[in-house]
Amino acid sequence: MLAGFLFFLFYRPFAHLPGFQSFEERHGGYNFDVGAFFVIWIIGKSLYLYFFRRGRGAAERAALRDALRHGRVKRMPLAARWLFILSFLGLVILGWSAPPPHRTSILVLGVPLFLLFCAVELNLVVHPGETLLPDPRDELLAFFKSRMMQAGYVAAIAALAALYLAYLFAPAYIGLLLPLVLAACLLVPSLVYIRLDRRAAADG
Amino acid sequence: MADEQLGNRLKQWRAAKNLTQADLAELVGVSRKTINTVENGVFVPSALLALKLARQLGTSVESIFFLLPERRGRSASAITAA
Repeated sequence: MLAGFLFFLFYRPFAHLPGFQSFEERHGGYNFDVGAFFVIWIIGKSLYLYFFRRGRGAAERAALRDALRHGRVKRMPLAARWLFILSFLGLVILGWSAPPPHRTSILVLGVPLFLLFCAVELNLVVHPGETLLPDPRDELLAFFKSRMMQAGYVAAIAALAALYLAYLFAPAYIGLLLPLVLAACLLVPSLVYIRLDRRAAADG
Repeated sequence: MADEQLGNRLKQWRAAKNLTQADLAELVGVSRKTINTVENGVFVPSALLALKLARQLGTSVESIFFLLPERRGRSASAITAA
């Protein structure tokens, strides 16, 4: 999918269609082919799954539901998640500092992926645990959650204060600071989770 | 109000019953980490879990958990954290 997306982003196959460029110019220069890529991808994949993998797909979904229910589906490790978040944060910063012709292309790719992984990380704060669907009755995880929320709240207040200072004294850098503090606000609870989890896992 | 803390003898009771943390965790339906953090005093269990632990160890809640009247600092053998 990523390869297809990059192909659409940089080769822009729709730009070769007659009338497409003038259509794009009339509508403010948005990347319509990026939107078209997602529509084509969703329709294509849905048709493929419906006609060629209907039975197998249902069996796979049932197996996945069972694995989720019994806590066999593990989360992506923290190091991997943070590798992705920091990579996409780098892409967002690169897009922010890039000159206008490349800026939009880089941000169109970087911002959704960065926000996607931020949402994944936020899910860990709201539902901590090693499995994708942790047991909501697990008292220890509820305790972890309260500590992570506490740390995250302090980090968020500190981030807001930093943003306010930046707004007062260096407003031009707000666009750069926003993704940085967002990542920091998510990193703090994750580190608290790691610390608590290691302490809990250590042999008594 | 006195600065009381919760202490516990869970490790001793578990050892007396010849159970590992994982065994006890399975018996009461929690994770091994939960048992470990209760034993270390990092986590104060709910009344429900305390009752389940006492039932599985064949004793009373009061014999496993007790109040420490004075604060002894974070390095004490039993601390509360919740």
